Amino acid sequence: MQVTTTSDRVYSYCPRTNEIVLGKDVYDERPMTFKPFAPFHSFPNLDSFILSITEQCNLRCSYCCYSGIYENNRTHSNISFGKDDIPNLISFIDRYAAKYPINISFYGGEPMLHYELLQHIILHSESHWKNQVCFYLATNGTLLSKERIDWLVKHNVMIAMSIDGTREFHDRYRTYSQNSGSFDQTYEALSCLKRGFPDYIKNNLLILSTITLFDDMALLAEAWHQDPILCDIAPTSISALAPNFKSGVVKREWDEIREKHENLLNLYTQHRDWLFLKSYFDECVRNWVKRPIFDVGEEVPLSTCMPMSDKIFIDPHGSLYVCEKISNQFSIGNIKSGIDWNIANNMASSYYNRRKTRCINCPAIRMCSLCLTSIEFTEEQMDILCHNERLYTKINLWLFCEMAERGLIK
Amino acid sequence: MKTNSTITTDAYAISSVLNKNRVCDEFQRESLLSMGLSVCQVGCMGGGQRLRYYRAAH
Repeated sequence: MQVTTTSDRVYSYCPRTNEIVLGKDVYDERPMTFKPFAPFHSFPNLDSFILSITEQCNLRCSYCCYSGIYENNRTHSNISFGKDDIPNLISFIDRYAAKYPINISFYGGEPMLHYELLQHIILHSESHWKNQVCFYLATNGTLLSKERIDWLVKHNVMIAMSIDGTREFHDRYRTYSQNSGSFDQTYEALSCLKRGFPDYIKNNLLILSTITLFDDMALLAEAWHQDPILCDIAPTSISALAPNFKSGVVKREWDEIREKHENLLNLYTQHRDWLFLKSYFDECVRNWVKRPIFDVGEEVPLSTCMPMSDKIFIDPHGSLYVCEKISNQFSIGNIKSGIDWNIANNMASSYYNRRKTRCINCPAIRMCSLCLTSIEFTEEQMDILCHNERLYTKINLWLFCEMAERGLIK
Repeated sequence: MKTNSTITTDAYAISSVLNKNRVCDEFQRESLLSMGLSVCQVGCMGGGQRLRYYRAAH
C-alpha cells in the first residue's frame, strides 16, 4: 500500500512488519500463513460487563441502530432488567470475571429512564465488590438533573454523553418522538457538569459524537469552537454511522474521500485550536500511531475478539453477547446458565473461516477494523465492506503521513 | 530552498514519528500476536473505540 503526500513524497506500508518506509520500496508481499483455529473455553481478559438495563428510550434518533432502520437489530421496547435478576447478574460476574477491578457499564435504550434500578445495582455492587468495581454510564444526557449528577459523581460513575454538535446539528437527528430536538436538555446537563464539577469532567466525562454527513464537519467544528460550553471540551470519540444494507451501502472512491479529507485537514492546519477537528483527526490516525511494529513471522493466529476481548454485553433479558455492537441474533448464552462455549466457538470458527480466505492477501489486514460483528453480512455485502475498509485504511495512512509532515503528530 | 540533506534529515525525523511503537520484547510480541492480525490489537482490545462502525445507539 502506497500513498503520496502533498509534498510529493511517497510512503510505502508493509503489513508484515507494520512499518511505513519512505519511497517506493519493494517489500515482502508474500501472502500471510494462518495458524489453524484454536478452540477456547474461557475469556482470560474479561473484566468489563456492559449491561443494557432497558430497551426503552425517551428519544427517537433517526439514525439509531435500534430505530428499525437496520436489518438485524432489535427495535425500542418496554423490556427492562428486573431487580430480581440482580443476584443472577452478580453470580455471573463472579463466575466469569478474570481480572479486578471489574467495570460495569450501563447501556440502553436510555439507562437513566430506570434511575432507581441503576442506583440499586450500583449500591449492591459496591456492597459486594467494595472498591473492586468501577461504573460507566452511556446516556443521551436529557435526564441528568443536578441532583442525579451529584449522586453519580459521588459514586464515581464515569459518564459517556452523546452530543452531535451545536443545536443546528444535534437536533437534526437526535429528537424526541414528536420530532422536537433534544439539544436543550443535553446541553443543560453538560452546562451543569461544567459549572458544578470542573475537576470531575476532566477525567470522568466522555463525549461521544456521531457525524451523519461528512460535509457538515467544517461548519460543525467552527460552531463547536464558538460555543461557550463546548469550546474547551474535546469529543472523546467521533463516529460515523454503522453500514446499513437496508438503505444501501456504497463503495467509496479514493479521489473523492481523499480530497474531502485534504480540504478538512487544510482547515485544521489553519485552526489547530478547533477541538472538534483535533479529535476527529486524532481518531483517524490513532490506530496508526499506536500500531505495534514487529514482524509477524511465518505463521500467525487469526483470532478476533473471542476469546481475547475484555468485555461482554448483557441485554435486559439476561442474554449474553460478545459486545454491544453485535446483532442480537448472535447470543452466546445467558446469565443464568452462563456462556455456551459451543455456540461461541462455532461463531468464532465461522468468522475465522471467512477471514482465512478473504484476508490472506489483503494489505490492510493489520489495520482492519472489521470484526466479529460483521458475521451478519453476506459475502456480497462483505465485498463492499472490505473495499471501504481498505480505502479508509489508505486514507488514514495518507492522513498519518501528511499530518506527520505538517508537524501535527507528536 | 531545501537541500537534499535537509530533506533527508526531515524524512528521518518523520520516519521516527511514523514508526514510533517498535516492539522489541519477544513476550510482548507473542502477547500481541495472540490477539490476531487486526486493529483489535490497538482498537477494541486495546481499550479504544472502533471508528467507522460504532453503532450510534444513544
